[in-house]
Amino acid sequence: MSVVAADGTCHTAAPQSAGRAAAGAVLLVGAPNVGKSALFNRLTGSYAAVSNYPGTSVEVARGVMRTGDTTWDVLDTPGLYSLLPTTEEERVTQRIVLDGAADVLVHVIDAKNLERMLPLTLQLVELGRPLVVALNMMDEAERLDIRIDVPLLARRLGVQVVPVVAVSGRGLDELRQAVTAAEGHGAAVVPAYGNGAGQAVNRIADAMDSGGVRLRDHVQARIDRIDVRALAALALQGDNEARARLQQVAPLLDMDHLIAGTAAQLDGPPAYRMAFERRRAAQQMLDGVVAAGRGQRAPWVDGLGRLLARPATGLPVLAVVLYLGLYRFVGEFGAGFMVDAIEGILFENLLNPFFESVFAFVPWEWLRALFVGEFGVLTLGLRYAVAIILPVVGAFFLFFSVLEDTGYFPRLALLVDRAFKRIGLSGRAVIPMVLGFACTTMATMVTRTLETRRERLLATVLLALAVPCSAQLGVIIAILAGAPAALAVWTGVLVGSFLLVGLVTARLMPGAPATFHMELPPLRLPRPGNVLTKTYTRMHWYFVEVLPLFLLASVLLWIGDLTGGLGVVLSVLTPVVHALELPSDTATVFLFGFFRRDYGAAGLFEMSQQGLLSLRQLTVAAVTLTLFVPCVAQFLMMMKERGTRAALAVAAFVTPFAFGTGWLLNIVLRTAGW
Amino acid sequence: MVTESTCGFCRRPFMPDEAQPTCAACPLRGSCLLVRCPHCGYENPVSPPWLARLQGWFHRSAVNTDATTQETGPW
Repeated sequence: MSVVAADGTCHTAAPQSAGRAAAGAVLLVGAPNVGKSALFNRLTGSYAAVSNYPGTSVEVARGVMRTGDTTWDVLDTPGLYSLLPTTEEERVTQRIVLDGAADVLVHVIDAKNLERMLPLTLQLVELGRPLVVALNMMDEAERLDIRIDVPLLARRLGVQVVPVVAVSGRGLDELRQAVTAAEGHGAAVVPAYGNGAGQAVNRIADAMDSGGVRLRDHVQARIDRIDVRALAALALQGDNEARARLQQVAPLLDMDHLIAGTAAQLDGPPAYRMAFERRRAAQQMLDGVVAAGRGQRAPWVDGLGRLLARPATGLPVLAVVLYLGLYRFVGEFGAGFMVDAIEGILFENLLNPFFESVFAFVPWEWLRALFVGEFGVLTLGLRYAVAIILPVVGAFFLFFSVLEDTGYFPRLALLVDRAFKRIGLSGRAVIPMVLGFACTTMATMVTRTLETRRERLLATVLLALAVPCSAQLGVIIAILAGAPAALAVWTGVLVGSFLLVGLVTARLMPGAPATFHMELPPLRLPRPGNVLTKTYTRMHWYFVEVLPLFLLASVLLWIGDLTGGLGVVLSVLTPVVHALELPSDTATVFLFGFFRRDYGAAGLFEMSQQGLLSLRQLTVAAVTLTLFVPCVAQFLMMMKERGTRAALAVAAFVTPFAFGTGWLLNIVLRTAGW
Repeated sequence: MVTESTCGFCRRPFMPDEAQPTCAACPLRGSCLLVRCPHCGYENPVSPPWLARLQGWFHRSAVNTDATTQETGPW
């Protein structure tokens, strides 16, 4: 019986049942959601043992399959998309597969999505181990009129391909027979990868064979069962597990030098190049194998997806998306129409008079001020949160969810990848940047998913400086919507600051350039149910977080007002805002902004509605407030993620940069006659 | 009941408990309505229980199609 041993390998032990011969171990491998567990249950019956993979919390299920007089141990591994792992579950599956102890691998794939599944099949073929492909969900593929030439696919892959329906048991006898037949016959086809990828893999494998010893004659038995080219391909893609296994069998070889030298000869990052070429090989292999059915995408959808990711076509589309989504919908509808309606009708005409009449009976002025005063929790905190911020973030999240549901964001990541590389980031940084437009605090935490420390620090600086959060963005667009020139200046200064600081920081912080590649999910029309659910959930999360903080900020301002502490802070800020030729009240707005960015934006919105600022002052204040030091929550998150020194350094840089830029902009605009 | 989520960015499915390692350091852990995809790090909103039940009710009423088919979309 095969068991998962303490060292993570599978070993063959005594036969299971008296009178039956134990043949070996079968490993079920496949992506999540392809019916792998259903197939496992069908093959093994209801007797399965589930245990954690040694040293992890990842569960691996084991059961027994019988074919005639033979029993097989079957392992159901955690789902994975590629043998290059990104999660702990995938890492466990990779280790089990690379240990080579399974006698037959069964790759379970979704017959409806062959193109997305086949790159992993090719990786398994590369291993040179006995392999059977189980085309699961064939009934659903047939319902969608997807026709698959199974014999042709089997010939091209060089392994047996068996159509099955795990939930009904269709094709399982054929699958068992195929497993029996495959034992002892490793996959013989060597997938051909173009653009130097195949040669690069061979170069590493050949170097090992000619390194003084014949590798395959000397390696440990279980590693020898895996084709060295498969390990070479993984090591080339940056997989440490494969590199360590190669180094283990060829200790005299300078593996790092060999891999780095081979990688340097490839066009582009090896991880990307290998994944791309494998995907292309899979597409070629499927040529003539699959006839499109009703559920398949039209070719023009893929074409449209590619156009969105190319600069020449993608950038104009991005401009249109931002104009319609941010300027017209969030700015004009959300921050204009909706705020006017809620604040004007609900608060000014109904709620505020009601609150004031209720608290008119409170005899103490200082206590009345806590609720309905200048910084009152009802007249300021609640009003800002409900009447100004909520409609703005609601409109923003609706726009955001529509884009998200179409699959536009991954294309945006590819579109900006080249520009981001110039500033030391990769397209992967689009994720925290995009999330930063929702909430920069949360986005700062997401920077931990970036590959290098340098990239994480760069993204943190840029999020703190030049990425406004959703409410701030919507409110500032609303403030400047009536003056397109001012909006253009604000956008130009922000984008310019982003690029300038990114370029300079990238120069000051040396490090390896970031790499990025990802599989693009298909484009689709947004589903109203999805969009509304995501919008509601994000609004709910935001409001639950923002309301207590707004109320708390009001209380703190009230305390500061009572004790005189507020006056002291404002007396420090006032000369600074005067240097920018802004009215004294703007100091309060900047103080609001330190509590929360959106709180400050709401204060600026109110000042603009009251006509207290000229166009030049509005533009300068909007630019300075956007660049201004991150809010308290973001600052604390920076301390947590990047350390206190880095957080203080970012704040120490951002604050003078913001006010310096505002001061310079004021001079430029005044000179230009604004 | 623990249900599978699909990432809004990379569209890979994941279980909410897979997201925990990346959420572990967050001060809002457990009280926010967001889970982070273990594959790409993107933050995804999770429907509150009442909304999930409502969705489930509508879903049962609709044509029963699996998640992968839905991913392909109307095109």
